[in-house]
Amino acid sequence: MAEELISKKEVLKETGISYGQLYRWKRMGLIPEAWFIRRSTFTGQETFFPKEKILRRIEEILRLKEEHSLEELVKILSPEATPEQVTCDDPVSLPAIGREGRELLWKEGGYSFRELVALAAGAQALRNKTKLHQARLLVALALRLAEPIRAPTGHSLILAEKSLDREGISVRISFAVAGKEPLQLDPESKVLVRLDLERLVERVKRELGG
Amino acid sequence: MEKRSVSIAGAGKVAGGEYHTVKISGSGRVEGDLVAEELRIAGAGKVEGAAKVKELVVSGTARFEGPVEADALQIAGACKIEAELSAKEARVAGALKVEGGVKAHYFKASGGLKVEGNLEADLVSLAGKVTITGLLAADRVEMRLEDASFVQEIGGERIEIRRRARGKGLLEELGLHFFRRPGTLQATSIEGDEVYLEGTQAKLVRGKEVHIGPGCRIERVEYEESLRVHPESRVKEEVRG
Repeated sequence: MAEELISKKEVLKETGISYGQLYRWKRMGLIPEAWFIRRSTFTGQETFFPKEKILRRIEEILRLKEEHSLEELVKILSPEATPEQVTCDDPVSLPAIGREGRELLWKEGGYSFRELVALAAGAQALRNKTKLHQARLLVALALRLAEPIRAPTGHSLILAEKSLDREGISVRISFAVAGKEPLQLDPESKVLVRLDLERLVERVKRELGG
Repeated sequence: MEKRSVSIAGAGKVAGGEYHTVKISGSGRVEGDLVAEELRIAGAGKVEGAAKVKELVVSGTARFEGPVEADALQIAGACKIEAELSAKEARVAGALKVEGGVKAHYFKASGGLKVEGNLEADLVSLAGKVTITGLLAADRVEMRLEDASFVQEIGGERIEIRRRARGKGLLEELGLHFFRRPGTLQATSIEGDEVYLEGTQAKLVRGKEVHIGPGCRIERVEYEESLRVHPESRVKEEVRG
């Protein structure tokens, strides 16, 4: 999990953006709070960022800001910052959800960002050959993750099952869990799908914007 | 349905809920969450829940036990918010304490301000004694210092910290200079594209154009384009680039 970090100063140098821009974008939610990582150095406290993510994000902002207002950019790049403002009428058109997700839909349209992430989680499970009722567990769980979807770094979703064989009766139980890594299940549970929530959120976001 | 309006004169309380206007003059409290177009407190008022109000005016004292969201917030007097504050425009004269973060477009305060968290806005203009335990960030930060202020971190495009308001105060008018000590600011780090400081003690100052005015003690300045340091100020370490 060792992500390469880059200091704030290096970010500014490498991208040519100003302090004003950096703080403005942070304020607007274009750069997630979770990406600001504080470390002590010989000059005191210094802020670092996950290198790949921050450089890609800044590059996207710089590329898109010619045509879009910053408020629009927030909706495109950080829908988790204002999830209530995003709606999608055709979730199946997002590859993250796709044909597999069709069976998970529960309404005509007007899916919010969180609902899209939940559908993508379910669709991913179906692509991993889980049963429909199992994928629905994952969807139902993800729908309740308001805060983690806004700041998904380090969160995982797990769909698992467990068999109980006692006195000739055999029962198989499916369950879904969400939490921050390291997330562990007991050794008798079998993990069917493990999803990195951040990757999922990023993917839905990208596909919405594209 | 037309929303109700209530007004308390003397002492009283109203149940939380949705209102058009709530006016408290005297002493009153709102029991629960409040949603209103307008909340006016003159005297002493308390909201025992979250307040979501378009126009919020306090003259006197007010206490909010939950988060406050307002389009326009105007405080003259003393106000305590025991959670976050978000406002489009906030103007404070007097004392304000916020026990959570503050988000605003425009935030102007004079008197005493205490924020236990971050204060983030497009434009921030502060005068008086300021304590911010987190980050103060804005496109433009202006501070006129009086007394001893503390801000953990400051970041933005243009940062201007001056020891006192321009022009003479009443005491100077009377020739009583010695009653008014110049204000000071203590900060851990200050970062901006254009930085001007007076009366500031900081560990780290970073910027493109940095101008250290009188009365400063800075441990380390990192600048890109220019650095000027007033002869009465001390900078331990200067780094370019």
